[in-house]
Amino acid sequence: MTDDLEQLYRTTYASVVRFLFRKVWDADRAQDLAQEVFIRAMAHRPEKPRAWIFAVAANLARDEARAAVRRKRHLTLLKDDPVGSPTRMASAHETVEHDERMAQVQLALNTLTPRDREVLLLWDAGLSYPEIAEQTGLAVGAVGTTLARARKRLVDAYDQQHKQDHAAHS
Amino acid sequence: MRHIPEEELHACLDQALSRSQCVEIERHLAGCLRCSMQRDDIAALRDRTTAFLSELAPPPIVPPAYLSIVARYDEARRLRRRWLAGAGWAASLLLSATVGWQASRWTWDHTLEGAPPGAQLSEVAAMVPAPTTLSSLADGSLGTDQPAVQNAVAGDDMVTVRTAEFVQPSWLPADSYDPSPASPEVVVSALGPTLSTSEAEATGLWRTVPLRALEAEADREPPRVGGLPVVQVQVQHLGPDADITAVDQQLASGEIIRTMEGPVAELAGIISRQSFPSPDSVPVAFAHPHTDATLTVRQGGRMLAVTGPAEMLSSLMTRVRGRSAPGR
Repeated sequence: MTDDLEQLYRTTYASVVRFLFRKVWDADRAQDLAQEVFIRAMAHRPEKPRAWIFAVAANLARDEARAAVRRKRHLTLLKDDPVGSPTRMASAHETVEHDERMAQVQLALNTLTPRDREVLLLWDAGLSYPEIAEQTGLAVGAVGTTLARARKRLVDAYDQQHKQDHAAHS
Repeated sequence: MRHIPEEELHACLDQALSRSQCVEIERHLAGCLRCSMQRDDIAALRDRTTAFLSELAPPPIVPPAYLSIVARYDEARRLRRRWLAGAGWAASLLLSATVGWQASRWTWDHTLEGAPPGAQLSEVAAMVPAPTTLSSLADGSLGTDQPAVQNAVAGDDMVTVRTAEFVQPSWLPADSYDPSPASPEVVVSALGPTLSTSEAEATGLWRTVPLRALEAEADREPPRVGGLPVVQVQVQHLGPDADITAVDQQLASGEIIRTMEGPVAELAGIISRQSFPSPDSVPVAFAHPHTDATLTVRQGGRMLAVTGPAEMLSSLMTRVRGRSAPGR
């Protein structure tokens, strides 16, 4: 079991971090949470560790988001500073162009419903349809429908955003 | 002609369908321009989605060594165990203090405000537990004409918790005392090695009674056995089937006085498994003062067994033997 988990850690860690990053928008925090997920997996020894890991990651990210909202509310009371807007989350090492692109994708992703977003991110993290279904409570047959809708909405939202930005600059 | 639903094309491109399903879809696509174009659109949509999401990647990820994760897990487990131990201890103290003090109040109320004096006393006397009896007798604070040991036959963990603590003989009015219980059968046996709490035959949960907290609240002195103050009391009640109450009193010297009360048959079984010859053996002389001894007292179908260092129990044994002698 330990060997299985170690193997899973080697093959899945980066995906878990990416999955978490797209929810907490903080690379260091995403790594911390990913390690916490694997530590919990060691304690629980789940039967389906891969699906379990992403389920716990999603829960931790949800808790993190709630905590971030509380922190933001608190900080907003202290000073009139908009904390945590998407455009401020990009790494300082990224180029300006990449920052803008990333912000646009982020905004587009935020237009999705929570379920569509979850299914899309789980799929991108490499989970199979049955694994996504188990985690989200959807029927396996509904995963394809949800994914089709999510992809279309993401691209439409991105294109719409891109058009608005282009019109604003011209 | 049936066209391929959009979600099936997504699933096919995501390799979420069986091989036979995909073969069937590919066969259809080869002859259906509409579905074929839709498949291409979906493939492009899929590629764009993947490209968008790749923009949302954190900086390059270097996974920490797996052993460092294992080390963190070990540390977390160690902290959790420590926390649980602390929480369990705290919960034990809280529960014991609450139950003990409530029982204390209940006992007082029941005693002082109940039915006629004789009836009250009989009832209260039946609740006098071994530890109090033991400490009282060992200190000589209980008069020889108040054979509390004979009455220590009723078992109730709440009452035992309370009375294991701070019952003072003075709250038993001498003029209303009813010494009706029959003479007990006293058996003294030698134990082997010194009693250890880890060797408890009663395997339930020991509850620790916080003497200090109750002492402060009750504004009373802690009980003493053989002149040594009791620093900790642990109570365990095995019920309702076994109906055995066990009380461990740890003295300031570190020695433990264990008192058990319950049905004769079951308690005798427990005592016999504690490796001394027989609960019905004749009294023996204790070769070494630190050898553990067990004193058993029977009344009806109930038995009281006190185990502890022979030295500590000697005065108690003397008194019980004296009281149980014929003609008394």
